Amino acid sequence: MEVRLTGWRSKNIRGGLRDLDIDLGSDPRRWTLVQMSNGTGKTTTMDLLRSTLTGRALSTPEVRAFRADDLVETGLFEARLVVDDRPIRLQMELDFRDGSVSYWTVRAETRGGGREEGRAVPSELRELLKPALTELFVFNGELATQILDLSKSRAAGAIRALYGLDQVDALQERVTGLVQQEVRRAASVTSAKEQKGITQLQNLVNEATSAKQRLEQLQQASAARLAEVSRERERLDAEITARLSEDAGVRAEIEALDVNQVEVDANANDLSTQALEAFRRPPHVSDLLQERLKTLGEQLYTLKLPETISREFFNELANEKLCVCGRPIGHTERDQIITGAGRYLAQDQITVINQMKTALRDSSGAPNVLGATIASLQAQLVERRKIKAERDRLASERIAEGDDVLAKLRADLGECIEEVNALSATLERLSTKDSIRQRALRVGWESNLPLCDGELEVRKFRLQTATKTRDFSEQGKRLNQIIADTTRRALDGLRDRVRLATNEKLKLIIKGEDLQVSKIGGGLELQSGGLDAKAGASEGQKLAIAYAFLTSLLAEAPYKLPFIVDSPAVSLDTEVRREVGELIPSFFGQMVMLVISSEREGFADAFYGRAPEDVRFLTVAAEGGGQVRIEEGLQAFRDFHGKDLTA
Amino acid sequence: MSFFLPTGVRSFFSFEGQRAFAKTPRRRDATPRFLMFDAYYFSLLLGLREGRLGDANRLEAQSFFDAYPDNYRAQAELIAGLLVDSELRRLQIGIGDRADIERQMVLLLDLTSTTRLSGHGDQLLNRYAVAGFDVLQDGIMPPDNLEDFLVAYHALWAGKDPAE
Repeated sequence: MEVRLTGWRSKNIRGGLRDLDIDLGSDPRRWTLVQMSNGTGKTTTMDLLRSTLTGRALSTPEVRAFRADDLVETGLFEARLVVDDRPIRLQMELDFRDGSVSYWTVRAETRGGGREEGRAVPSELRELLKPALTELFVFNGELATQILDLSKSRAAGAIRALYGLDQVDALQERVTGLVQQEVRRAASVTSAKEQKGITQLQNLVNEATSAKQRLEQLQQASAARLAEVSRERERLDAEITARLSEDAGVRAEIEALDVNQVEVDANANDLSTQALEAFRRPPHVSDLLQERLKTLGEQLYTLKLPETISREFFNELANEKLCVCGRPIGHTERDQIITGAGRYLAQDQITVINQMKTALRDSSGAPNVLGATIASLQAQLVERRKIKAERDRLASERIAEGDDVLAKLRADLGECIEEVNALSATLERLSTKDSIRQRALRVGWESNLPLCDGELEVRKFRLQTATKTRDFSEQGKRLNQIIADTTRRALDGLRDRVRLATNEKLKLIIKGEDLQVSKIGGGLELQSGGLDAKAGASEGQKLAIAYAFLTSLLAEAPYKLPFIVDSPAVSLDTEVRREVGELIPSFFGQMVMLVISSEREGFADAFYGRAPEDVRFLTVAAEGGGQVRIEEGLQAFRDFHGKDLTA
Repeated sequence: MSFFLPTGVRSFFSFEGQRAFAKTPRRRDATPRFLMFDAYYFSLLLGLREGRLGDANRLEAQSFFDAYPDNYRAQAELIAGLLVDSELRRLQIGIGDRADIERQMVLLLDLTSTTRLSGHGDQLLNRYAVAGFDVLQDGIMPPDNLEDFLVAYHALWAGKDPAE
């Protein structure tokens, strides 16, 4: 892929650029030397070329500094390119009134006149047209010094920019941004994201896990003990009965009580069953409920609810030709019937109300029967208490008579019952899920299993969230480290590659001295004769080194770019100038050199003998009032006598 | 239909799983089984009697039963009738107000539901159970056994009969 400069045009720009159009032709020659005397806008042309190619923002003072005079309101600079054989014109419009700048692209293949705002160039080329790269090929002379300055990072910066390593920085920022986003998301659950915080959360999980294990063990032990004590209670009950039965008289009484007990229990069960069945039928519970049900049923009959005619009847009637009364049904009648049908219930609604109405009408209860059953049940419960009191009395009498064994058994039974109650209370505290009961018993997660389970889940969730965040954060750090390492290694490799290529070219340019680039750090480190670092090089050598570096670098760019340079040889002595003039041009596919007349000797004259189809000579001569004249050809170039300063 | 127990009912009746009065040692004889739905229904009747709705937030989060158990299936229309009656009283709809009565019935009843109640009716039934459980708790201590409970519960209705 190739970019070539086919010309530029300026309008209302200061210096000699009030009305200038340099046309290099649709197929520009490899080398173009444009001779411009001082004051005809060489430096301004270079600035405008860079700004137009990059589309960079300009401040109001910068814009107004380009103004030709106070009479002009707008200015224009246009760079003409051929990108892969397709012409593109990049324009910069300057508005001197408000100090604004706008950039435009003109392409032949675009509809609507082909002019659109902004930079419409292929994306790979757009990447190259950044300020840091553009000044490498629209060459800034100061760059030659800066590239060699170790305290600056222009050389390394140029490599980074050309190879897109800048974009890797953006990748690192994206990774860091994602980590921060995850940390913010997790902050609603836990603030812990470092190992210390995670350890604390793990300790909290361990604490709740231990508490759960302890409570489960306590629950198991309590349940086992309760079963054991319950069996013991039954055994003591039986033993007490056996002990009492050792006395024949008491045994007869106990047997009578047992018979009575069986009968009372059976009666109580029967009565409970009857009562429960009665309670399950609302009309049997109370006269109040029975009366309410009957009243509602009667009310429905009185009010003739529900309607006996359903909505469906009218909807069907509306589809008939004749009404039930025999009269014809027209459109008006039909609409009326359908509208009126909405006031009636649907068939299923009528059915359910009728079902209820029937149930209410047929409902009959006997609350007095339930009352009698409950009274009988109550009597049996009284009898049951009496039997128990009688058993207690018999036992108490034996104890009073000195039966220590029975006393012991009764005491043991008492203890047993107390323990049963205590164990039941413990188990309830441990296992109740009822939140009201939990509050009443004042249990917390450390004493109640369901609450402990809940607390453990919450703590585990926090730990998982924090661990995930920590892991994500660590992965982000590792990824950024990998990116940084990869970038550094890539940069090292690229530096070395460019350094070797640069040294190859230096061998050709600077033959008298073994000047080499020993290392590319921020700038270029030099060494001479392979011994010491070169503390300083002549201006000419600096330029030669910079050219060698740039050509090596730009050779790797995805596009072959034109090299445009202002006064390339002005600071070189005649000998070096001649070498530069002979050697450097071969490095570039297209080279446009803005020169002054003093550069002809040694530098420009190196081009005089080259084939006419490869080189073109243009001379821009000032004619006063900001106007210029462009002369074509070698003769005019050689004969030009401008007012140049060689500095 | 989904029945939701008022919170506290399980504890009041000492339910362990499906077994009520679990703190009391199990007797060898076959006492009738007191269902969890019985606990709901006994509360509900008191709530319907009082014509008071409880707070839906005081219902358990999960339903405990989705339809009437066998023992209650035949009572579906009567329980629906009691709900309609309580709602007419609560909303102070007059006995002759035919249109409003019909509207309430349409709102509360649904032929396709096993309880004969609409979704709205179901929700109200659960809230009446909450209010009824309050009456239950205020009136009697947590019972140790079924017999004592039945006697105590019956006493809660004493003095409420219209004839007395």
